[in-house]
Amino acid sequence: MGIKITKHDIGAEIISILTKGMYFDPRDALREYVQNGIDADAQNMEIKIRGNSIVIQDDGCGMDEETMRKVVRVGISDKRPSVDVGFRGIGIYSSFHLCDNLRIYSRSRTDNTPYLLSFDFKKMREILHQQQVERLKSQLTGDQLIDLQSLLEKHIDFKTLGTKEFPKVGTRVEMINLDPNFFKSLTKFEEVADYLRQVVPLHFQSQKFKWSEKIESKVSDVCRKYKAEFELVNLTLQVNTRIEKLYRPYTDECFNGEPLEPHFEEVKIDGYFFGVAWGCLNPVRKKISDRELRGFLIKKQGFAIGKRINIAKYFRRTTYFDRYIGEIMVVHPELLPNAARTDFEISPLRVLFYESLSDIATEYNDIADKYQEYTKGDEQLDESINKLKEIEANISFYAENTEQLVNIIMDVRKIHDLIKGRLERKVLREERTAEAGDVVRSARALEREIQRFISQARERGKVKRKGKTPEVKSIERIKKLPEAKGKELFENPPENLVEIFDILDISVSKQLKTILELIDEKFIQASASNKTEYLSILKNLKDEIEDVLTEE
Amino acid sequence: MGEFKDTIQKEVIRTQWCKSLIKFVHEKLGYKLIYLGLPGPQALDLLEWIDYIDQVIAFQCREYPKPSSVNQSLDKVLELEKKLRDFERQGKLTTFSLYDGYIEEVVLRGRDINGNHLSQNDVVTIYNLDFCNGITAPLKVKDDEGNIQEYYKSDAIRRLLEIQRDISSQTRCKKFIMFLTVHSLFWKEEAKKFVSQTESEPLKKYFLKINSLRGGPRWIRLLKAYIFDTVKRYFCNYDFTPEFLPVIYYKGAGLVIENWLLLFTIIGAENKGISEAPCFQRTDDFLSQKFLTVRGKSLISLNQRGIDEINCYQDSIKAFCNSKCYEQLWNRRK
Repeated sequence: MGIKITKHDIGAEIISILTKGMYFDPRDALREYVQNGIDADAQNMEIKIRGNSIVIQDDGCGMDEETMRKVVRVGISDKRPSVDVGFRGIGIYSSFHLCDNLRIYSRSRTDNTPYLLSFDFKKMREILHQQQVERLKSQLTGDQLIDLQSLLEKHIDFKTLGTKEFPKVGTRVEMINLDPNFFKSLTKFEEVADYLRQVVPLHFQSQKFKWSEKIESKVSDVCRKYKAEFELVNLTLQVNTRIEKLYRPYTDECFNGEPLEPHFEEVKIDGYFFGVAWGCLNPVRKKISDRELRGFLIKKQGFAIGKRINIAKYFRRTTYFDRYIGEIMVVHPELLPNAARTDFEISPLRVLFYESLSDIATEYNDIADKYQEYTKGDEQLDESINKLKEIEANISFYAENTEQLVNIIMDVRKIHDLIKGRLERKVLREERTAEAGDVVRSARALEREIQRFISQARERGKVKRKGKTPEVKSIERIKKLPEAKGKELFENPPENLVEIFDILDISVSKQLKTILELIDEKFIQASASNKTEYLSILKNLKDEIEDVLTEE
Repeated sequence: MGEFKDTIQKEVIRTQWCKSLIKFVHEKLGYKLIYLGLPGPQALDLLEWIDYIDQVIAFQCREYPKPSSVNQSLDKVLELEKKLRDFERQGKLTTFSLYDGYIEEVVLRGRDINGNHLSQNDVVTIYNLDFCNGITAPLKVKDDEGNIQEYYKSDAIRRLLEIQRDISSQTRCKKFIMFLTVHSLFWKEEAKKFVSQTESEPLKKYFLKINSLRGGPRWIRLLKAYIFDTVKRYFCNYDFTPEFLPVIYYKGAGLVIENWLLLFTIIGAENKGISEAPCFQRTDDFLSQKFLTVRGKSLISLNQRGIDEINCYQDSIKAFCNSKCYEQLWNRRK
């Protein structure tokens, strides 16, 4: 047998507890009202932060009288969870602790009459506070506490307006008399803009990010194929007199060079389609420098779910995750975000989603892995070509120095083995395999030449040689080797030991920096005979450290 | 920036002199205007001119004339903010911004008392600088270190013109009106200094001419000369050619003589060259004009015994359209 519940069984304090618990960041309220606009099919939205108030206005379908009346409901919503972003019926109270007064003006296309819904949050908070004080002094019993219904009824006002008061179709939310503690943080344009760029389904800025159109159209195509809905909105932010249209935060400048073409993956498993992922890899083997943009961000209907770092664990190597900028655009209607938008609600579907995320993470890892190997291969091939040419240029100086010639042979053999190994393991770009073959052959021939040269020198050591220094026949072969191609792909090599740590984004304390400088001077610089050799040692050291990090 | 009481004189000036000029400039430029100034908590000026205005940058202090403090009542700021929000909601304004503090304080510090940074993103077309107290009286404000800083209104005007010069706009040309209201009698000591230090021959001649006058009539003419000399220089320095329209001498709120005010109307137009912008208006032409004043519900020329002054236009559009500045910079098709 059920139990009869009356309005007195739900205390007014619940509204304060819920909103405080759900909206930690004052900017969350902006997100909630923007979501409502998007759910109302708004194409254009404005957020204006000035004076002591915030205004959020949209050109959506607006609300008729019945819908407006339902706005005040707590935890009940007519919205469809499968399509709409907000559906819990709490978001409207997200500014409960933020402002004294919330005013919602709306005019719908259907009944064309403007309405005003006004919430006196200040009074509500005062009553709840007073109640708390009295309870602490034991002046109130539980039965005397105000119930939620009474609190809302007394402090929410609804009225019809003349058309001049609100002439446009759409909705306007005014948060009036903001708490100064919150307001300060909301008047910093960049902070608010950065937050909105992350959480709101904005368009890409095509002038600043070369893959904008490709990503937008591919994501739309995939969603259309699976009959999934996906909306983007034009959002303008004004803080005092600074007014800017906001776009997603990605630009070419976020990468160290031109971003690689995006790779797309459909996020699906066992016949379930969850959405589509896109990811652009940094063209150099380096983390994306902006920590806020590194890796992949899950978005549901364009709104961010959790933080990027939360899904790094699905990628074998965090290093690879950090070299991408991407998004996982989730559109599955039954995969619902939790109230705080930090994750999806616990459900069997969520388990499947994360399984499919693991799969696509593996794909992205493999791409990064392959790219890393290829770029390393490019570098090694270019270095080998340069080294062989250098040997060719200098060989005649060592014609009489058999000891030096033996050392050179070792170098040539190393080059031969390195490139041959890459060819055998197929870890070179296809378009460079012919060059690599040339290098292997040239190295082999050069080795033979030098060996012959050494024998001759030894012979001559017995009978004192007269005449010119003999020519090295392999010169012509070396000259045919191509110029190193990939140089522009790579960062400038480190110029000292400390710089290696800078490049690899490893923070170094002042004390450690001094120690590194000492090691650099006493050991590394001391072991190099010239600057080229010194730089080469640093470069190798950087690669090795990077590999260690990658393995981690 | 005084207490905000409306008077019949203010209403006449607002509706007859200012509004017609604003409407004319709006039609001439072909777009709605951007207002920067002190509309007061009731925003009466804006209410009258709203049909021609698109955006507002407003300043409102809390408790005049006390130095700004976050502990003061916000009522006046909130009252103005509500008015502006209503205009925006009703579709009369596209947007607005509101700074909490005295205009000279915000403009010269670059931020208001809440820390909101002053910025201007387009060309301002109407400056309404209703100072209502002495142009040379500094505002004393405690800075972050607790030191007292003095902010001068004239420096604020200069800074506003500097910002206007530096702004770049794709859609608006740099043509604007500046209404400048100052108190007529807070100015005796500075006037003596101004008279003794000037090297300008036309000004020296003018001082001789008004030598026979005493009290108020003398002070307002010295103030007129001072504003012309100072503000003209600022305009020209920042590449704007100014045109000063006839000055209106009128009674503000309150009963005492100290509440008489002067309204200057200066039209500015960008006029870039190798050196500073020229001023087409001759000092003696402007200074020899009679003042206008409000009688009943009309603007009339003010006749002053003991000095020969020439009649001026009582219609702001006529006054403007008959100037060389208008002919050279406003009436030419580009």
